[in-house]
Amino acid sequence: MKDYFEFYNPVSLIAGQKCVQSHLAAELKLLGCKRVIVLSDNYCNDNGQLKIVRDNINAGGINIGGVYIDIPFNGNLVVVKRIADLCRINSCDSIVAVGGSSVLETAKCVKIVLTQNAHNLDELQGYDTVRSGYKMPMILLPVMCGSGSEVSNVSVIRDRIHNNKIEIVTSELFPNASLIDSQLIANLSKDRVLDSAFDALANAIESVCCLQHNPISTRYAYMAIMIIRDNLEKALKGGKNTINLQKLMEAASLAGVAQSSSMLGSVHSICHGISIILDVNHATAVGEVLPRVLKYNIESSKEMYGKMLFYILPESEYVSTPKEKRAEVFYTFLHDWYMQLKRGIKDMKTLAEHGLSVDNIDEITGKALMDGANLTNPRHIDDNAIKLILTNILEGKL
Amino acid sequence: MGRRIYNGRMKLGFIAMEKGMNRLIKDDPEVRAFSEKFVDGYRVRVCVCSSQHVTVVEKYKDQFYGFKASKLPSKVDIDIVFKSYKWIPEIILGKYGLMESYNNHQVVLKGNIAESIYIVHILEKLLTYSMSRKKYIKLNHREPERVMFRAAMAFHIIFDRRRTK
Repeated sequence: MKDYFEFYNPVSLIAGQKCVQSHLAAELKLLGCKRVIVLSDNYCNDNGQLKIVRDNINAGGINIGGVYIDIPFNGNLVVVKRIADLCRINSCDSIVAVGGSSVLETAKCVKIVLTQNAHNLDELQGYDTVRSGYKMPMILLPVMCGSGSEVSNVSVIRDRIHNNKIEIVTSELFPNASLIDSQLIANLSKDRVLDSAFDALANAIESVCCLQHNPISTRYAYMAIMIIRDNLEKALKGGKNTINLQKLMEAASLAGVAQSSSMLGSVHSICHGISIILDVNHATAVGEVLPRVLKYNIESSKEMYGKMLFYILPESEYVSTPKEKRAEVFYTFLHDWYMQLKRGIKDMKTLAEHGLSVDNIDEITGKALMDGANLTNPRHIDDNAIKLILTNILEGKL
Repeated sequence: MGRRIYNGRMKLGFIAMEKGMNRLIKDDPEVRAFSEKFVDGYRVRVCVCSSQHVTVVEKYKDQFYGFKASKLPSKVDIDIVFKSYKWIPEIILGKYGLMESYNNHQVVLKGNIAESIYIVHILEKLLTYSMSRKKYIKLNHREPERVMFRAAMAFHIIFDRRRTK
C-alpha cells in the first residue's frame, strides 16, 4: 500500500528575472488568448506591478477586455461572482492575475465559476466537486514568495457571511502557466519576505511529513528547503540585486508543486483559523505555528524531521548532531531562526500583537478543527492539542 | 460466484455502517456532537467507482436512515467513493483505516470539506470497533477510545433494527 502514490501537476513554470517582458505576451498568444481580463489588487496597482503586466499584454497586441483591482485581502465570494459577471459581459476568453495569494486564488475561483457555468462559488466548494469543463487559459503572476498558489490545485476563499473559509480542491484549478519574476517583488517589505518565505518552508516541510507525501513531491520539497536556507538571509539584507528574491520565489513554487499533490497538515489548518479570526494573512502566523505543530507531530514524523535537518543545517553541524536528537534540533532550529530573523526586522508584530489572546483561542480552535488540512496531518489533532499550541504561542514557549 | 460473495459482503458492510453509526450517535457523546453538525436531510453516499453498488444514508432527527435500493436519491451532500471493490471489506474488517485509505488515494471524498471531516471522524470512530488495538495505535499514535465493548457493538449491529426510507 505504501508503494502507491499519485502525482499530477500540469502547470508550465516560467521563471527568470524580467520573464514578464520576454514571455507573457508570447505565452498568451500560444494559448490562443484574444481578450484577457486582468485581475489584481490595489497593492499591485500602487506599486507598478499591474502597469508592467498591462504594458506587456498591450505590447503583444492582445486585447484587455477588463481590469479588476478591487480584490480584497483573502478574497470573497461576492467579488468572485462580480468578476465572473464582468468576464461574461466583456466576452473575455482568458485570465491573467497578478498579486498575492488572495488575487491568485480569486482568479482560480473565477475560472471554475466560468468554466462550470455556475452562478456562485459555493455550488462548487469541496473536494473534487467540479466536473471537467471547457478550457479557459489562465496565467498567474505571483508578487509574493510564499503560498505557491500559482502552481497548486487548491483555492481558499473567505466567506464573509458565515465568517468561514471555503476550500476548493480540484485539478480544474491548475493554471496553464505561472511566470515567476522577481522584478514584481523588488519592493516587497522585509516582514512580508520573511513571512512568505516561512510559509513556503511550511509548505515544503508539510509536503514531506503529511500522509499523502510521495517520492516526487518530497524531492521538490527538499529542493525548496535548500533554496530557502541559502537565500532567505541574503534576501532580507536587501540591496538592489533581486537574485535572492528570485530564488525564494522559485522555492515557493517548488513547495507549491509539492503541496498540491501531497496536501498540507495542521500548520495550515491552525493558520487558517487564526487568519479568519484575527483577519491577518495566514503567512503571518506560520512562523510561530510551524515549530510548535512540528513538535506535536514528532511522534509520527521523527525520521522525516531528521532527514530534513540535512537540508536546513550546514553539513558539518548535521553530521555532528546525534541521530536521535536530529528531529528535536530541527524544530528548535526553525523556531530560533524565525525569532532571530524577526528581531532583525523593525516593527514586526507577534501574533499576540495582532490580537491573539486567551479570549479568542476557543474560536480559533473551532475554525481550525473544521479545516480539511487536518485529514492529512501525520498525527490526529484534537481541540486540546490546538489550544495547547495556541497557548504556547501566547506564552512564548515552544 | 466470487462476484456474488463480494456483492453480499458489500451490502452487509453498508448495513453495518448505518447501524453502527446510529448506535454510536446514541451512546458516544463525541459522535453525537459530530452528528449535530449536520442538518436534517443531510445525505452521505458511499459507492464504488463506476459501479451500481451504492448506499445513501440521510440524517434525520439524530438518526441515519438508509435508502432502499429502489429509492436511491440522486442529490447527495457528500460522496465517499471507493476506487476498488476489494477495498470495502478490507476497511470494514479493520485492516485499513478510512483516513489511511484516503491518504493512499484508495478512497475519494467529494463534497463540502468541513462536513466531510465530521463524517470521516464518525466513520473512523466506528472503525475502532473492527480494528485491532495494535493497528489503531500504529495509525493514530494513541489508545482507541471505545464507549462499549467490541462484542457489544457487534451484538448491536446484528440485532438492532435497520432504519430505512
